[in-house]
Amino acid sequence: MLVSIAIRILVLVLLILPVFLDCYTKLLAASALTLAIFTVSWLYLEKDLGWASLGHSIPFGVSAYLFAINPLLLFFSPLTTFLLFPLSIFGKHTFPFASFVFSVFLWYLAHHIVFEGKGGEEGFRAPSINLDLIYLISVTILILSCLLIWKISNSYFGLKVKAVRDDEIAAKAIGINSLPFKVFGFAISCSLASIAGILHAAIFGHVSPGVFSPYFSLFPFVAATIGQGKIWSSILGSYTVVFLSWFLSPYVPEFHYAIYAVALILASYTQSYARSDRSV
Amino acid sequence: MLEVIEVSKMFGRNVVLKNVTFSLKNGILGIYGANGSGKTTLLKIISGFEKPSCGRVFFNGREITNKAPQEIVKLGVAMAFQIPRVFWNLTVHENVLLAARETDYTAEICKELNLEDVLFKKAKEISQGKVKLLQLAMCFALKPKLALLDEPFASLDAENVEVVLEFLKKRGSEISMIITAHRTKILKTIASQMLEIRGGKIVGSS
Amino acid sequence: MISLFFSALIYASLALCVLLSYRVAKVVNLSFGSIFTLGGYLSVFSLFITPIFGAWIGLLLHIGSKRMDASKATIFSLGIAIAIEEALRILFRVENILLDSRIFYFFGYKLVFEHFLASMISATFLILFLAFELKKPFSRLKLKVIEEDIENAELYGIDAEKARAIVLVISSAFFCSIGGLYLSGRVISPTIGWLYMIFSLFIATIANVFREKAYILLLPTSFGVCWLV
Ligand SMILES: Nc1ncnc2c1ncn2[C@@H]1O[C@H](COP(=O)(O)OP(=O)(O)OP(=O)(O)O)[C@@H](O)[C@H]1O
Ligand SMILES: [Mg+2]
Repeated sequence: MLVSIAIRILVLVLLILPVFLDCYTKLLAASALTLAIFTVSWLYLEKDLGWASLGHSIPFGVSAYLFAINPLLLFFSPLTTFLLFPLSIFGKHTFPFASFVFSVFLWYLAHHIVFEGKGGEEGFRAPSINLDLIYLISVTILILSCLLIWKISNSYFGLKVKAVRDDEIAAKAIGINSLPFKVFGFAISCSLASIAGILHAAIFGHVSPGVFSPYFSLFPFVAATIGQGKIWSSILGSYTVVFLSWFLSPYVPEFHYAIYAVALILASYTQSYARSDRSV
Repeated sequence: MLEVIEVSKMFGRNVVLKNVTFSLKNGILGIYGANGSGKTTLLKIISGFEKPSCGRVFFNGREITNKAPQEIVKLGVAMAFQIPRVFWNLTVHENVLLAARETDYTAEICKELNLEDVLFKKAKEISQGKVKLLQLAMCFALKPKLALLDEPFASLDAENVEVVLEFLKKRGSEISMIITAHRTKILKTIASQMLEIRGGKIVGSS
Repeated sequence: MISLFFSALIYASLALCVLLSYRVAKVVNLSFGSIFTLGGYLSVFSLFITPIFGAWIGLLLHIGSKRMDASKATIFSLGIAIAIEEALRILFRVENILLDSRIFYFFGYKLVFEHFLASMISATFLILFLAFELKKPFSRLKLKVIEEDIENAELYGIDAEKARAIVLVISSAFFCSIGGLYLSGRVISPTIGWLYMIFSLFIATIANVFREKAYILLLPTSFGVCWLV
């Protein structure tokens, strides 16, 4: 109990402190913040829907690209749901790898996206917005998305979503049609991930094929592993990964991948997937 | 109320049900038969979880043969599985609440079915017998017109068998039921009508 | 045309490794890509150490992911993949290395010697495996039982663990040595192997649709896919 309160206070401090610091730190914090929103979106899909996606960079990256190509395309970003959702035909066990492979495929594809002579390996320039403003927007969105997920998760509607996660046949037996609930959950998660992607593009003013790289597709998984699947500690986890990799990368090239490797190996020993499974 | 007309079911080349025909007006129908005689398959066909190879099923004059299970439930046919299917990561209370949609009724049913002591435990943490009771509770929480109970007495101890019998007798006046079992002894005490099924055929009734 | 045939051979054998480790070892082995890259980097020193290192990693994979279910084992293999990639990055600070290669002429066609060697090895591998599949009905039956249900196989006294270890070790060694050969003449970076892995994964997925006939139909599938691409 005490630990969880401490974590909440720490997160709040981390959110407020950068406002008073220099531009460089603020940029770093803003980037961690968008990735925290990204992690929260992933966590909803994993906890309430039971689908562990290793390709969440699909909604993230696609909407960042759409935003960079034309800011008005921003309104289409919730449609990225329909890129991720069809992969659910692979079933809960294969979904993580199907989505991962699809995201790597998009990574290679993104090197060949050219629009009006721009793009390719270089990527696109995104419209950049004043850093202070975007930082405030990001903080608001993070808090709002936490509230939204908390609200949904504790409502009667959210209970039905969890029921569909646990056993689709049992859900049918009490008259719940599983498809709309699944689509709803994917839509919420993908929309939040798209918002994170758009913020990411706006903060750096630039989008490159790197948004589809395993760094982003595995990020929420790693952050949630560090946070042990709890929402506040996962936010803290995403800050940890971003800060550590930023400060240690000059000494160890791409240090975040070292964190990733450790987290993935540990996760395979501790975490449980496909929650509905239970041997009778 | 329920009419099953010439229903047959094949899994590949294995014929499981052969021209099963019966109808139920009111009260409790008991179906008994050996392992593998097709009782579960018959109930699954009525509730829409399996499609019959041929034949038709009517409920209150409406055809429900090829309807999806969630639609059949809405018409008032609820099913309790032989191997319980419940929401393992939700608590017993939440499980029943999902079916009942209101808190008072949930509490009432849980009390009647002896589930009060495990009300706030997750379904995966309670014993097999309690899961069986939970499955029954969820079925009746739907307030069905017809309840299909697949072996409701299996894996229950003597005391809980009494609890369930009491419960079924009480509801039997307003809800029609189809109950399957291996042994006829308990069944005879509550059923108003009995069918024997052997090798997928109805061979006798009383 | 002839180089197309050679690459089809190579991809078919890579896909065979992927398929075997999926069916017998029950893991979508995502570390093959990094093992492939590792082979490329090791070939700077010597070609003969590549299978040894590959086998070691295969053994590590087997021991590390013993008794895990499919999804956990796959996540484990992904962790190993990233660890190898990161190790390469730390050891070879220069991002891109050009591997040298030897050119020779085969009936007037200009060919890279290493690629030729790689395809010959792949062909041998494929032929050996198919011979094993077709000629020894009992081993084949064993393999099938393991594919169907690993716990059942153990109940009947088939040593599934051993089969799993063998498959993982051989397929990793194979990937590593083919990586050493096939990447020569190219500029390599630590992430290059992903592309080859995804491609062979793709072929394996298509072949997997054919269920029992998958092993035999791998080569035609691979040929078709290479031709299309
Ligand atoms: N999904 C299926 N696929 C193939 N065959 C099936 C399937 N389900 C049931 N069967 C076959 O149908 C026959 C009847 O099965 P069913 O479960 O209906 O019997 P039952 O009367 O309920 O038996 P029990 O008393 O053991 O519960 C069995 O012989 C079984 O092999
Ligand atoms: Mg049965």
